[in-house]
Amino acid sequence: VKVHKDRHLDFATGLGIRGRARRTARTPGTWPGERVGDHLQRPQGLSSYRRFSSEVASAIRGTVADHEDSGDRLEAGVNDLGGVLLSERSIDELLDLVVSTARISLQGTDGVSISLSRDGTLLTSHATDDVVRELDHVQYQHEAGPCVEAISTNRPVSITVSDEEERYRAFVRRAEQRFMTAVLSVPLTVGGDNLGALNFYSASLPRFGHSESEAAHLFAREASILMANAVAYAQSNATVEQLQAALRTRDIIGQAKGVLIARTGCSADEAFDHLRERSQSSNKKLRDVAAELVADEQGRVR
Amino acid sequence: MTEAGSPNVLRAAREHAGMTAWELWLAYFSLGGMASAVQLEGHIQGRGRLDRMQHDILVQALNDRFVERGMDHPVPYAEDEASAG
Repeated sequence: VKVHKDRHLDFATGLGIRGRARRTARTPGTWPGERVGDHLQRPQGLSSYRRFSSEVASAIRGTVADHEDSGDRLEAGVNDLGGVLLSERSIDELLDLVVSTARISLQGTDGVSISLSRDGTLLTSHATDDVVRELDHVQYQHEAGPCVEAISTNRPVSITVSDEEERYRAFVRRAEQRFMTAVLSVPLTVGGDNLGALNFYSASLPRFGHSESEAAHLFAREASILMANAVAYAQSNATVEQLQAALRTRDIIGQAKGVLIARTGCSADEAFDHLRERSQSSNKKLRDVAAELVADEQGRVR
Repeated sequence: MTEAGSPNVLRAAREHAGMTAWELWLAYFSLGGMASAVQLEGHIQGRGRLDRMQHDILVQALNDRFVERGMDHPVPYAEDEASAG
């Protein structure tokens, strides 16, 4: 049984939260959750993020009561995290933070991961280490295990590894090789949509109990909100890009109308009609007709 | 048939073009359209009426999409409808 003598050390790492989380975000839009779909609720926003952060902080106080000083410091860290604007930083990095904070906050937890369900396949998007990645992967391969079940039933699943030999044979074999004794998987849902699961692995607990379970749900909600934000963020970026493209076209058409007005003294509406007629007679898109006209005018002036 | 085109024709054309309300408004806006997305939708649904110029810009946005698909301006402009009617 693995002893948690490194827990104090972990809290020292936990205090690095602020420094890490304030790093500038990497380019958004490549995060795996962005294709989750259009059925998601609007993101719940910063105020609810703050609220849940303080709930997570109190949960942490509960689960780390035996390390009270560290708990206070971590609580400060989590509260601080809730006060930042999500759009300013990488949501991906925050999800990394969710798994690492969850690991050090739930007593007896050795590894935490996020499983994402995407286009019908499961993948591990974030994990505290390679062992939990491997154990997630065995479940995906054999389509059996607590995480797979939590996602398919949309219910939390808590197991004692040694009790599940029959149900999850391949997973149990690998988990025992890795000295894991208990697993808790909590579904991640946003607006009724099942996005995946948050998985907790222990090498010391016989089973995750009620209080761990409650704290796990808070972290799951945290991860869900971040995912909803990631989706909304990717969508708003796409909207901005579409508008920029629309403005570029609109500008070309404006220039073409200007050329026609200068050449013929017509009105702006008449200039549009002229472009439209030329689009019809040549069977070209209006934008292409306009671009040709502008290029032609530039050729003339030169 | 109204002066600024038939809503039925516009609805059918949009459906045939496979464009969402947002995509159509973007295309219309790209071409210099001045109406808001809500006004545009109202016009398409026959609730409000845009003037001839805005109607023709909308029709052009639809026809541009059909041109992309190798079709030649199937949606009638205001003047075509006036002469047909």
